[in-house]
Amino acid sequence: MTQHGFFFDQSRCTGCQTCSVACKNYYALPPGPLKYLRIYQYEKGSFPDVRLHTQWIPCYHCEKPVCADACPSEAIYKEPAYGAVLINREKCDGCRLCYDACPYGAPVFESDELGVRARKCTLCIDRLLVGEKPICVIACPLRALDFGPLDDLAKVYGKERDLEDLPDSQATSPCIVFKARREKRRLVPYDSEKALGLFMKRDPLPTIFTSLSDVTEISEGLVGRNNLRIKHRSAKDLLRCTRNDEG
Amino acid sequence: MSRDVPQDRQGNDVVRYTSCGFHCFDQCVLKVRVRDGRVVSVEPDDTIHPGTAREGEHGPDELSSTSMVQYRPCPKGYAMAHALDDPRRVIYPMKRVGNRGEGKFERISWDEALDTIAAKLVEVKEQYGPHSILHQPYSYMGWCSFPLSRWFGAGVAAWGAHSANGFQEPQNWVYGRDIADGMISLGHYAFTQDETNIFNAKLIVLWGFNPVSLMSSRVSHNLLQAKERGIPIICIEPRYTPSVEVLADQWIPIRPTTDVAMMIAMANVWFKEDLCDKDFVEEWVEPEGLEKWKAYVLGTEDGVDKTPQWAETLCGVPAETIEGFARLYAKSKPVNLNVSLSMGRQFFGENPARASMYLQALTGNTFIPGGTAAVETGLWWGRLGGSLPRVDWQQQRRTYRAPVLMAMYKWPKAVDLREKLDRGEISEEEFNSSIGNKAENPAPNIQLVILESNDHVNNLPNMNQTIRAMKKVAFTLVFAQYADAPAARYADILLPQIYSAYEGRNGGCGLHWPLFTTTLNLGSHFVYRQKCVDPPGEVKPNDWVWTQIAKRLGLVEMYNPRMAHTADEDWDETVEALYKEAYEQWAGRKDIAPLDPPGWETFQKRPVFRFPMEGEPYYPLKHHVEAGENPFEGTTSGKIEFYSKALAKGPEYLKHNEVPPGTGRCYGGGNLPPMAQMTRGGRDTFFSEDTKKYPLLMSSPHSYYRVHSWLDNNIWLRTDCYRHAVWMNVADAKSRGVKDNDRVRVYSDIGEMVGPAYVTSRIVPGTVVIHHGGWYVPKKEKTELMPDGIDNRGAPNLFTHGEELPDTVVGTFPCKGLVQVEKLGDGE
Repeated sequence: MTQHGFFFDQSRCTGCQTCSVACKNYYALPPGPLKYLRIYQYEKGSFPDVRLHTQWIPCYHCEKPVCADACPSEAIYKEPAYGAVLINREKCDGCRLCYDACPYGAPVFESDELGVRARKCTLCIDRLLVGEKPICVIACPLRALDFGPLDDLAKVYGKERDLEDLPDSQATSPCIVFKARREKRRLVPYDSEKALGLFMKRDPLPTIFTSLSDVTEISEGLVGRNNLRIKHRSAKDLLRCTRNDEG
Repeated sequence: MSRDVPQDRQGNDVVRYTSCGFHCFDQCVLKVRVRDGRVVSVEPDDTIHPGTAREGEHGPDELSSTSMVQYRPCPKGYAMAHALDDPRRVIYPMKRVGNRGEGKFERISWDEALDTIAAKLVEVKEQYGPHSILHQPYSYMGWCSFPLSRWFGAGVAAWGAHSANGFQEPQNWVYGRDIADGMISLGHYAFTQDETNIFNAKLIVLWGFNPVSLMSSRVSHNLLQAKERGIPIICIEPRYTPSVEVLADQWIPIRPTTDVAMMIAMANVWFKEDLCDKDFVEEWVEPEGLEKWKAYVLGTEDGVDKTPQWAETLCGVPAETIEGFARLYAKSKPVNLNVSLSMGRQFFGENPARASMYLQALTGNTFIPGGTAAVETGLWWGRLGGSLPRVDWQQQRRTYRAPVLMAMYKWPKAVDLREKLDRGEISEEEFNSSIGNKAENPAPNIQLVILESNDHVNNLPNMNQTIRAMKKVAFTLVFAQYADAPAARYADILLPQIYSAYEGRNGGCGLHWPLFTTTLNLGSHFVYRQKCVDPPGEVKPNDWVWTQIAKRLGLVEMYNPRMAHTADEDWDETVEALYKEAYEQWAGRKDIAPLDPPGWETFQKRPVFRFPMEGEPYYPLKHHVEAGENPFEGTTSGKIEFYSKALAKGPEYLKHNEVPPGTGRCYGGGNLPPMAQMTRGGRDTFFSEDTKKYPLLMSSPHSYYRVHSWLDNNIWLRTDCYRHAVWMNVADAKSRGVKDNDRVRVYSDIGEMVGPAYVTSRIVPGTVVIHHGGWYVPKKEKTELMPDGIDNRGAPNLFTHGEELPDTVVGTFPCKGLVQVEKLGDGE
């Protein structure tokens, strides 16, 4: 077996969800929580020192698939040619122990109903078998993705297997190489505190806010999408977390 | 082995190619898989470099613009296919059975629909005269798009355009030509640039421009490559957008409607620190006007020195940042300045539009490799733009030319005000003034409105005014895919709209719907949109509809002589044959033949034509520079003009004259300053007095997941990909007790809606964003302000007034509004 995997360039990802929609379209998946590929977009910091993060989470087809170990029905297996982690749907009884085990939340379910069988990203095994790349990889408008034998990807893109905010790769050895988002370069001086003072006032009209902490102090639950949560208690929760506000 | 592979790709699948059929800047290539007459999937462009993940990337030093690249679609390209067999779709002609606005319809036959329309056209023309019929959305830029107007002898033309005229008019004042001008066969629109021109820049500025949302294909990908080459990119924007995150080195947040103040302060720094490009200015800028503007900037006349310290209290950008940016800009030649059209689409939007052109002129960046003329963002036309194959429809010569009687988006006002004119409450001159008509022109009396695409009820400023207009006229005809689309609700006759990119054959016999299409952005390619499936029910091409109406009016031999006798069952084949003829004529042209286009049958296998663009990238006005021509011969002085003498003549002059003379543009009066300046306190701006009542300035930028209002109800996008919410800064949310996902009420003096709040640090305090194109979805609850029901979805044009005389000049198409927000209830 030649273990294949993905490359994800976070510095190129806009969170547009093209890959996810193309995947759903290709595999005729219905609208709703059955997302083989989930995109998370979340902010960090406070105005004006804010960053927008994205995470790209299909199944990483781990070298140590803890989902398979957890499955009491032995429905999950490592496919021999490419190392894809696949589910035999006839064996799956919908117990969701695979979901509990997977640190990335890769198995997905059509609804919260008990007994609904697990489904997940197949590495586009059907496409691989006819010599094509996964659909997400060739769909990305900004070419943030690549696919191939994991060793080859490491040669081209480096050996980074971890990404800020994702679970430690030691646990499962996910088959993905990452390139992290870039640090910003400040090209001209910018004094954030002074800027906040300016944004506070609208002279001679009433002020916009009264103290800098009105902008910078953020209590829990106030801001939408300012943390990463990739394991979900319900289908609704998954949908809420994988939507953005760009529309 | 039981695998999860629902796509049976052996069988009888047929692969077709098309492109999205909406008003999108990009026209990406869609590979469509059809099985048993249904679209089963859409795949990305594989007509070149199939199977390449990181495709279309230029080598590190490569500058030649090959354009031999894929045009990969965004999510809209995939989601649209689901709309074809959407059970909610209108698939038969319908007539209204309730009141306009109730959205109650019943199915009728095509004969009844067509007979009714033909009879109403005759009746309205007889009763109200030739200036009573309005067709949109393409009655603009001096045209009348009513397909039968030229022979039926009725119709109204309009000036201005949906998105561009806040910039287009200033281009004529400053450069003596505008973006639509200067098309050279196999060349370029005068002001455009090749994609690789940006790699020659030393600084790229995206001012108010979020390309990831609007131009996600080639423009964004090239900007990304520029960034990875190390070319500095600065975004000046009220929001921290995905473009800022991925493309920019630095974000400079700025208050909407104050950009011009920052631009003026930058020039102030340049004048004082002697940082202008003296040689360029001396050769190309008209000196008298420049001196007038310089006097304004330095405050030698009004005593206000427009320094960075002056600007910072307006923009929210610290003076040190403005100074630093001004110096960097002046020293980074070439600067590739990309300014958003939205900046022109606000009260006095002509000011930032002009000032951005001044910035490039003062630093000598207007027409050099790597520079831009700051005409607008992203319109980087490919060289094939004006050279596509065109069908010769052999239409007869016109017998009627519709006169230009208004600004294009003023038709609702023309309807709304008409009864005041009829009752003698306003004069004809006042009426004409308010709709952008010349004082001495006839006043239009619009009584029959045809909306053929682009939901004008939803997408024009001041939605309630448009709704009033739709209720007042004698007859309304709307083409739509959904009966609950905002415009469709007000239709007397509702016709099913074909998805012309996939279904049947709309030939483009009228002004639009051609099957050859090219992107407005980059590249030299075009796509032939192949027929993928038959339309459902009784959906028909628009051309077919107008041909049948023409038959009833005795005009068919004039309007569509080549298909006057085509049987319905032969329609699509006949259109295809006409396209084949057009392609073959085109391929034989002297300028095209050397590009070696394939024969029609070969072309049909991969119906995307590309040709490589070699050599030095095109930059704005390159053709003129190389030919030794003066690109600014259209201005009075033959130079770049900072000061418009025509505008200086003031409102009385503008009531009677076109500006620039002879263009068919008229302004109806108004007080637009003759040169760019900061105007405080205008309607729907950050410093308006109205903020005392409605303190939050709303902007309505484009959504990633809609093109205007297209696809707003697409459940593959709106429930899966995004939440349509009211963006609020943390401070504004806290002071109103609002937290993320709470239900909020948004209101102003002209509209009211409810929806969820998105609380974020990604937006400037004191402002909110509601993305453009959210549909007006009325609740049962009605108020005086919302007679058809409070909006339950979030249509931002409920809050955009449109500009009003005499404070400004009719013409811009504003997308800003002042609102108040209050909490209604906790979110789930």
